[in-house]
Amino acid sequence: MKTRPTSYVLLTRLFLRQFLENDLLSPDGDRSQMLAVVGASVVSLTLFISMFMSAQYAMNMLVPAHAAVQTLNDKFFYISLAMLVTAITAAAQWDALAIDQRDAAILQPLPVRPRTLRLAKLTAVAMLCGAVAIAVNVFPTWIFPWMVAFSVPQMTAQQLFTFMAVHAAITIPAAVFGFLVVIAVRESASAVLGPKWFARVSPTLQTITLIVLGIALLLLPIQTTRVGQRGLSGWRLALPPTAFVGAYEVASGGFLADLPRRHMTQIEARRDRAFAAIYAERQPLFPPLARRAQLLFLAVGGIVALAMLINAHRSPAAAVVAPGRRRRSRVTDLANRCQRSAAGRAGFAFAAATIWRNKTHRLTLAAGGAVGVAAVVVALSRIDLEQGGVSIRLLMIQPLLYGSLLVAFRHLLRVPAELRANWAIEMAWQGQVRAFSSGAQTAALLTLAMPAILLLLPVVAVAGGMPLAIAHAMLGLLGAAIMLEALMLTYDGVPFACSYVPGDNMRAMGPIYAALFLIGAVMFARLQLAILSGTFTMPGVAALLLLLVSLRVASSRRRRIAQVDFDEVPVTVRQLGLHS
Amino acid sequence: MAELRAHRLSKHFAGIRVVNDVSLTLRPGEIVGYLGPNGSGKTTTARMLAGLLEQSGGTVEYDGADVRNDVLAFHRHLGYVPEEPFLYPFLSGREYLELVGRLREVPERLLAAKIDGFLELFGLTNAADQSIASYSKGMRQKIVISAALVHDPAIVIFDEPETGLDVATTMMLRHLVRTLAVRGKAIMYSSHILEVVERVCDRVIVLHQGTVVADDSIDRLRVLSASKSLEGAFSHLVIREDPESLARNLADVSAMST
Repeated sequence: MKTRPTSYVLLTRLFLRQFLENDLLSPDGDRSQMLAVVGASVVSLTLFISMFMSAQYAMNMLVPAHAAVQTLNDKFFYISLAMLVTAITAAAQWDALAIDQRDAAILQPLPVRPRTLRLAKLTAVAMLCGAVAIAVNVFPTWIFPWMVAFSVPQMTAQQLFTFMAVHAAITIPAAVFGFLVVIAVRESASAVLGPKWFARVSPTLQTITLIVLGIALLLLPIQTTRVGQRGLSGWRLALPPTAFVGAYEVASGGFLADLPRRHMTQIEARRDRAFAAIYAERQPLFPPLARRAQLLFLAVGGIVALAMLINAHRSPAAAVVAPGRRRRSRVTDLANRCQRSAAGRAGFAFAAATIWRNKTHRLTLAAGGAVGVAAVVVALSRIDLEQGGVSIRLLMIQPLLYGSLLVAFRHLLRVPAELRANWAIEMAWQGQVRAFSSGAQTAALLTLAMPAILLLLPVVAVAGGMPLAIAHAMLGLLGAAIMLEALMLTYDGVPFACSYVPGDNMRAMGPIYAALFLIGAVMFARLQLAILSGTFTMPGVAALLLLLVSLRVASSRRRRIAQVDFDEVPVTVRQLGLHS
Repeated sequence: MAELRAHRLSKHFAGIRVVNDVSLTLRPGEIVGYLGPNGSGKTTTARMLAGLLEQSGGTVEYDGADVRNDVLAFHRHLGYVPEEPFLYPFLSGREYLELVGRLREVPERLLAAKIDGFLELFGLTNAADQSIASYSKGMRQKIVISAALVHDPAIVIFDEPETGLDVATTMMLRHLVRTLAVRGKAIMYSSHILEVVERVCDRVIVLHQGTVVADDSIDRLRVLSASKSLEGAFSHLVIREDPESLARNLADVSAMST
C-alpha cells in the first residue's frame, strides 16, 4: 500500500517548488521544463569553463613544480566560482530562504506545527544548496584533475583519484560556504533588525548582495590569473577562497610538487627549480590557511544557527507587517516640474517606481550595474590616479557605468511591471506614447544615469580636479541623454505595460551590440578628452547638442504604429495567424 | 449621452465558443444586470465590451460608431471594474490612482481632489501611501472602483464588483450605482448575486452557456417564469438540476467516512 506523505514531506516539496517561482514564469508555465533549463545551463556552463580552463594542461607538458604552482590559479578559480555561484543562487532566492509573509499567511491557519514548518523550509534550503553545490562542481571535479594528469604523466591512477576526491571534498564545502554566507547575512539582518525593519531594508540588502556578488563573479577571471606566481599576500590572502586553497593543498599533501622527476632538459630543470622555490615559499602558508578555512566555515555555520534560533522564536505571523508609510519622493516632485504633460508625469512616476520597487526589474538593473561596475574596476585597475591627469581610460569609465544601466533599462522597458495589471494602463491609455515614454526616459536619466555620474565624480576629481570633474559630469549627462534618445528611438510600446516577447535575434546581435557599445564608449571618451583639453570645446559641445536635437527630431518624425499592441505576440505566431 | 450597443457578439477560444451571438444595448441612465452561472461568458462579454478582448464575431458600437475604429476615444467614456482586481503591487493606492488619472489626462488639481475624496470615502486614507501588496482584496476592489470613476465616465461596466467588499461598502456600492444611473450614466452590472441585481438593476440579461436566454425587465421575467422573485426566474432559465438535491449530495460526499 502506498504510504501517505507526511506534512513535513508535503511542505518540503512545496518549498522546493517555491524556488522555481519566477515573476516572468506564467502560473501555467512548465516548471519542470524551467528546472531542466536552469540545471542544464549551470552544468553546461561549468563543463564549458572546465574545458576552457583546462585546455592549457592538455596542450603543454609541465614539470611537476610548475604544475603545482600553475594549478593554484585554477584551484583558486574553481573554489571562488563554486562559492559565488551558490551565493548568487541564495541571493536570487532571498525571500524563499525563510518562511515569508505569504507562507505565514497561508500555512498558519493549517494544523501544522511551526517546528515542522521550519524544518521543512530548512530541508528545502539545504537541498537547494546541495543541488547547486554538486551541479557547479561535478564537471570541474572530473575534468580538471584529468587534464592536469595529461600534462604531468608521472601521476599515478591512485593519485589522480585522490586529486578528484580532494577537489570534490574542498570545492563542495566551499560552495556550501558561499551559500551559508548569504543566509548568514539575511538571517543576521533579520535577527538584529526585527521583522518590521527587516521588511523595509530586505530588498535593498538583496540588491546590494547581488551587485557585490555579480561584480565579484565578473572580475573573477582577471583576479585569478597568476595567483600562484604573484603570491598569496595582501588582500588576496584575506579572501575566503585563499583559505580554501590552503585546505586544498593540505588535503592533497601538495603531491604535485613531489612527483618523481622524469628526464628533463636544462631549461626544464631550471624551470622546475624556480617553480619549486616558489611553491616552497607558499607551502608554509597552507596549514594556517586550512585552519582558517575550518574556522570560517564553523563561524558562518554558527552565525546562521544562532540567527535562525533567534528568528525561530518569533512567530511567523510576526513577519506579516504592513510596510511603512511611503513619503512622496523628491525625485517625483522634481519630475512633476520637469514633465509638463500629465502622461509624462505618469510615465516618470511609473518608471521610477517599477525599476526600483519591482523585484524582476531590480534584479536586471543589479546585473546591468554589476557589469558596469566590473568594467569600471577593470579600467581603474590600470590607471594610476595618484599621477594625476585625465586619460581616455579614465573618461571611459563614466559612459561604461551609466551605459550598462541604460542598456538594462532599455531591455526592462519591454518587461511588464505586472502582466496581469496591464489592463489598467490599457483602459486608461489615451495614445500618448511619446509623452509617457519621455517621462520614463527622464526617470532613467535622473534615477539611473545621474547617480552613476555623481558616483564617479570624486574619482575624476582626484585625477583632474573638481572643475574638470564637474565639466566631465555635465558632458556625461548630455551623453546619457543622447544614449537614451538613441535607445528609445525604435521603441513603440508603452514602457513596462505591454506583454513581453523575447527578441528573435539577440543571440546573434548581442555580441555586435556589446562591441558597438564599447566602441561608442571609447569614441565618446575621445571626444570628451578633446572637449575637456580645450582643443575642440565649442565644436565638440555643439556636435553633441546637435546630435541630441537630431535624435529628438528623428524620434518625433518617425512614423509609429497607429495603435499600441498591448498583447504583443511573437512574429511567427502572428504570421501563422494563430493569435486570436 | 450616447448608448453602447453590442450586435451578435461572439468569441471562441481554440475553436470552443464561449460567447455566442450576444446582442445588448446600454442606454444612458439605465442599469442593466448581466446574470449567468459560473463560466457562462459574463466576463468575456464584459472584456469585449470594454475593448480589452477582440471579439471573434459581431460588433460593439458606441454612439453609432464601431469602437474598434477608435478604441482610445471609446475608453475616454468608459469605466471598467474587472472581476479580479489585479493591480501593480509595488505602487501605493494613491500612486495607482495618480497613474490612471494622469493617463486619462484628468487635470492635476482636480485629480488630487478626486483621489483624496475617493480615498476618504472608501476609508483608505490611512493606507493610501502603503503599497498595494499589503492591501486586502476589498481594499484593492475599492481602488479599482475609484480608478474606474476617476474620469467621470459615461458608461461603467461592473464585473462582479462586490467581490471582497464588506457589507457597508456593498450597500454603499448599490446606492452609488443607482446614483450614477440617475446622473445619466449607462451601467452594466454583471453579477451572480441575484439579490443585488434585483435591487439595483432596471433590466436583466441572462446568459447561459454563452447565449442570451432572457433580456427583459425584472418584473416581466418574474411574470414570464411565474416566479415571485428573480431567483425563481433565474432558476427557471438556467438551473437544470434541483439545487436542494445537489446540496444534499454534496453534504453526503462531505460526510463520507471509511
